[in-house]
Amino acid sequence: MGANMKRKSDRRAKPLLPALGLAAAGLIAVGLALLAEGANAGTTDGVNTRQEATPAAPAGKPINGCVTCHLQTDTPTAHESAAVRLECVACHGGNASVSLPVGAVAGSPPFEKAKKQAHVLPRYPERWKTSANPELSNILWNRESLEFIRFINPGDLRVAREACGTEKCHPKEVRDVGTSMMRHGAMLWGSALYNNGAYPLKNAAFGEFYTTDGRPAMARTRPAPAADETRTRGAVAALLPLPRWEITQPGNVLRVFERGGLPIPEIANPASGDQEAGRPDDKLSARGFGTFLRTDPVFLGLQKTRLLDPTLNHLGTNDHPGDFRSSGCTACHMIYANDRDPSHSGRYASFGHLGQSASADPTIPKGESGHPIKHALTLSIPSSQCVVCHVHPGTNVVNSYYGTIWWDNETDGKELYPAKSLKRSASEIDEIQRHNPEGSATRGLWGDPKFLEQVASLNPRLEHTQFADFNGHGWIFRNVYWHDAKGNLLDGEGRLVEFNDPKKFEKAVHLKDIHLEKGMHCVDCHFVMDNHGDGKLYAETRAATRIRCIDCHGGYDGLANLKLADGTDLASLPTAFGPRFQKRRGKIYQQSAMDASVKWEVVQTTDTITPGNEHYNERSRLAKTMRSDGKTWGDLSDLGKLAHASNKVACQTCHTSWVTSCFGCHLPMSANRKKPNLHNEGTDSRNWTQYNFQTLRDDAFMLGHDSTVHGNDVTTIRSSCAVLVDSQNANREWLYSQQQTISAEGLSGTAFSPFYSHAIRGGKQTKFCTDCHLSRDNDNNAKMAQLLMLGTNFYNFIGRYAYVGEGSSGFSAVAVTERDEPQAVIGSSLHALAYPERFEDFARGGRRLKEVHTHRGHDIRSLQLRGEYLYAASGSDGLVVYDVANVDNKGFSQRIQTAPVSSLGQRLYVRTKDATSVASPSTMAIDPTRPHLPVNEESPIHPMYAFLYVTDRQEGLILVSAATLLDGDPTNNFLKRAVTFNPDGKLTGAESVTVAGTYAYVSTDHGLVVVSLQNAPKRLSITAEIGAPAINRPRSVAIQFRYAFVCDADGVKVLDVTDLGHPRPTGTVIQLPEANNIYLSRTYAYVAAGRKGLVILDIQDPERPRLDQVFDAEGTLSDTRDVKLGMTNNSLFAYVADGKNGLKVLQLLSPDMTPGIYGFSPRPTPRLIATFPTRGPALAVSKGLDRDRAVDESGNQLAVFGRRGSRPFDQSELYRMYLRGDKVWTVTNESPGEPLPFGSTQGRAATASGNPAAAASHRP
Amino acid sequence: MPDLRSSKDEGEANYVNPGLLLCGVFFDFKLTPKLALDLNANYLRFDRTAPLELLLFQPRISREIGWDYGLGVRWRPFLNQQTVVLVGAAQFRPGEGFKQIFSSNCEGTGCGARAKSLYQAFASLVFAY
Repeated sequence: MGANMKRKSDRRAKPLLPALGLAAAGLIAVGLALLAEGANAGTTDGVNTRQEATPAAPAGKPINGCVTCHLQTDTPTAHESAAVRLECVACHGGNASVSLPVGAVAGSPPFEKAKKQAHVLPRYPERWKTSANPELSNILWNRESLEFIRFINPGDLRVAREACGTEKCHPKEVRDVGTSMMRHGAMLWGSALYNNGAYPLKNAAFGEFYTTDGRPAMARTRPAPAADETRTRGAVAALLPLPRWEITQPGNVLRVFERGGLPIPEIANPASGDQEAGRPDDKLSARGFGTFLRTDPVFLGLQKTRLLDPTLNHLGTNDHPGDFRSSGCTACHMIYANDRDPSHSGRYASFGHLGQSASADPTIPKGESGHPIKHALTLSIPSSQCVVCHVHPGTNVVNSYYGTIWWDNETDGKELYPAKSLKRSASEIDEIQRHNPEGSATRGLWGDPKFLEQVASLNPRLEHTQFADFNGHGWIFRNVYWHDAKGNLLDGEGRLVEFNDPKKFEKAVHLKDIHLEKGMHCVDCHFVMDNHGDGKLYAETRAATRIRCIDCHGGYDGLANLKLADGTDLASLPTAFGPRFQKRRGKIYQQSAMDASVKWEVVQTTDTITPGNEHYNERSRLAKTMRSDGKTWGDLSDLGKLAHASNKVACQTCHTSWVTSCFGCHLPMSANRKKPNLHNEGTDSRNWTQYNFQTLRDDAFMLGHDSTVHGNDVTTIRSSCAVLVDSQNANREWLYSQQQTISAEGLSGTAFSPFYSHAIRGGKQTKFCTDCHLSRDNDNNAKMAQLLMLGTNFYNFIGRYAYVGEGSSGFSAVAVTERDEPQAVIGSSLHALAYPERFEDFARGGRRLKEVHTHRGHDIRSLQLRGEYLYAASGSDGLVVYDVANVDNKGFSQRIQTAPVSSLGQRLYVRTKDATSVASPSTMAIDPTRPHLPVNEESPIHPMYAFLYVTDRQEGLILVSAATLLDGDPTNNFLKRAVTFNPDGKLTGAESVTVAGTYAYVSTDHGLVVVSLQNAPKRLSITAEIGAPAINRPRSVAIQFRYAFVCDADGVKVLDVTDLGHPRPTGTVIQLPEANNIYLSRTYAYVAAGRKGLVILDIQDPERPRLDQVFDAEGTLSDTRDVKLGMTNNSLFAYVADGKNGLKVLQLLSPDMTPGIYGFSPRPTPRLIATFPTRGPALAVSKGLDRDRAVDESGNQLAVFGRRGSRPFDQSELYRMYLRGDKVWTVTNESPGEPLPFGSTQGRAATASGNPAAAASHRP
Repeated sequence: MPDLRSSKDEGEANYVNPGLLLCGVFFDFKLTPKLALDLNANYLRFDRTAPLELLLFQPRISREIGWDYGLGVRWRPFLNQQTVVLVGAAQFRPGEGFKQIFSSNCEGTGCGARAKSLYQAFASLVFAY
């Protein structure tokens, strides 16, 4: 009787933990921390002061037994100074009274017995088979005894107070390092958690500290910083241990995390649940709200995936060149062999890159990795030691300092992938991923450490790039060379270097930092206060950095005074070879920290702008003295009017040669992968997340405002931490796939951050006027769109599925990439490299794509994917929203649906009379409905981003509120129209809409109508109408910065949209009989031109577009309706909807076929690589996720910036770059006229630090 | 297996059992994220009735038990398993075998019972922590 029903009810009545708020995670973390602290009386900042059993130096002991085996060593005390007198055991502990029995030889029983008596023995001897640092020791280090840690490394932070930090030695240094960012790593955790919505506060809250007995601890700044110090200096009061991921709360509420799921069955337990395969409830995993387990994937990733870690708390991983180091003080001050390049390793380069010892000590095995070069502590720390940690995320500052960037997994890949796929076993793959979290290594040859360590030896055979000689994290790094916008390599004089020149990599300028080129290492700029910190907890990248460019180079008006803002005298800082700086005859000289014989003159800024000085450079004077009127320059008489005053614009803004960018990071979490936490207790669990970058390029130059800690200066911005996430359940079904995140306050999680690109160059490789302002030749519209972060549609991400609208046949989600890493587009050059067998099968099968998921539809003419929903304009069905969250979930019988529950439970459609198109104002997921905390200093989100914009032939423009789809509440998804706008029938006949800034460009059958959304949804207004002949029955519009390109009945027309509300026809027409749709990507426009195929226009000068080429794929593009571009790894693809021939995938740029692939806009070399014959006519393709758009054309921020107070330019600041009043203002790279006399106004004697007004807030 | 024990302590052991064949349809309508409607109908038969005939001293019992119809509404006001309200009703329409077992052929006091349709209404309220 009601049997099934009752049974269901009983089974579902399992006790569940109540849902706790995010605060719970914090509270538990606090509890954990307090426990840890309570157990260690005397802990003040995470470092225990408790006395340990290891004896102090046995003063006066006549015989030092240690040296009876260690007959020789390099420097007996490890200190360079002979004045330091220490017994071995004073630092290392152990028992010096044990001596080698007379006549005992190494390996003999008496020898071994003596060794055991003399040495401190490990708790886990199986992990310490030799004296080398073991690979991937991480948490093992926490579990070992304090005595053993001290024996192996007296400089470890758990024991350093007893060794290095004793009263007469280095107590301050040890104390400072104990709370330094290099120890706690909070900056990365803080950004990752906030940017992806896992934690609501932007100031980092979690950091890594351990008590002396190896338990997680919290740390405090004492005395606690005032609120203002936190705001302006970035010092935080406390950092908590990272909570266990198992107790965290999902911050980024994807569909799977929504409430309402039923308990899922346990594996192999048929009685544990009652869900049938293929039912919608299956998508709700055990990890959502209101279920057994609430976890946040970000916390899990931070705990388990190797990112920037290990921090100074632990030994390096000691597994690849570039990974060898110790922990604590020793991590930096004792040098390991990591890199054979002398510019990276200095005098240590000759010791190789395998972490092998060259010690005089006969007991240290030679030829074994994991040993320091010598038993010697030093102040001469080479950059190769810094990069061990400062390598993450493969695009870090030391990488750009070297002029290198993480290899893109594609270029010159034929040397890196096997000809036939390797049959690696599961355990081999697991072993590779223990070392390298990036997934492609499991397919590539570089997963083999022996291959990897010799990867630089491939260089003579490589055609397109060159590799560096270090491989931290198991990664490969390529050199960045100077190139022009087309990717042509350039030599030092700016002359082209031919692609087929065999010596091209010697001739082209390798864009390493100029300081590196002059022989400087990291420690030649970053001195003790930067490296050790000042004892406070700084939780934002660069917050602890004190050094500024002008501290050495001086301001505009005087020699540098070599004093920091806090009074630290740089001149008094020592190197191993004497004072660091000397002033002689009006010049400043610096002593290298690495080499006694190397000194250099530090060129003074003031000298470069003073006519007659030997360092005078007119461009320098022009840039520094230019006033904000854009015309007057030459003197410094009115500092307040300077355009580029150093208290407004950070030096590297102009002086950088390139900025690294990592567009997109794919983080798939797989189930049934037993992996340890890398922090805290190190417990094992069964989930693990890979760490796969998507597109690594060196061609994006973007500007915005730095963080509040850095005075909100104008500075260079990079894409970083812009993640896309996947997750499996226990059945390895993909519960979500390639999903965006939303940051805590609703801005898109496609994140950016200010980045001090350490790629400073002089002369021709720095930035010029037209890099940031409108060129008089009007040839930098695309560059400006990039610079201002409006997006260039070049890096867009079309993921595993391309969505194609097919009219009355509905739509298809066509799988166009592999699911594994690298997620190569099927049929592409990367596919041939990484999946040779699958590629061959595919090519043999006529390059037809096979995997597809479809849904019926009434009349789908336009569609747009955003997050887990697909928006479609469906004629008389109006707007229909499809739930595509489970499109990659094999456990789902219907992967695409319109109604997760009955129509009583949601309404994912809005009926209109004749819907023709739909536009999401952004492809990024943005939630304008979230509350803002003032302490986070976040920009407001314009309410227009809460709506979808639908055109209807009869009804005009319709706004539909879609914000409820993103709010994590499945009960309120009843879409309804918010506004119907069609004043006087002016929007009747609307065919399509394009949203740019706060304007909607509506194409109607009688012309183009511009609608202001500034006051949406309350009040919409028409600001302009353009009809024939200027615009003749427009079909579609695309906008790039100052220009709109309109497809109409005559062809492609160009409008000047400098004033977005009032576009101005330029009169430019490219005649095309059938221009259906247009896609702008940097300096090329791609026109879906019906029977002509794909027409590619060169739009470098938008007012004078030029037909570049027409591509019809040998006649198979004969009814081209729509085109969208996407970038995968380093290649660019076009996804073309052809009414007769279905979906066509073209590879536009490929490293092996496109010369100058790394250029800003290389000429496309299209070729057809894959086809999917759709059921109905392919009419539309969904646009990919914008990965380089942080702000809209009206200055509304869209994407989160990962530092508090950092943001893109707002509207007035955007205008300031190219408008004077309402007039367009243009520049050339030449001076705009004669300079004013330089004069001697702010004479060099006035202030030694440069003018205080100019320097006061000048920050690093 | 139909249970022959009327309670834990009483009734017949189940070692020899008539067996059950159950054929049914079950509809689970997700009306809203919080509200579900369940409908089911089951046809029930014994696999073989020899054990019953032996136990009941009644020959030639038909194998048909009858039809079971059920309707239930499941309401989860907070969209989780912590609070679940289940309200339902069910009807059982006896078939030939059930009628034969529960009808009385004798005459006199206490005799003459006829198997009728059975009804049940139930509500369950689950609070779990």
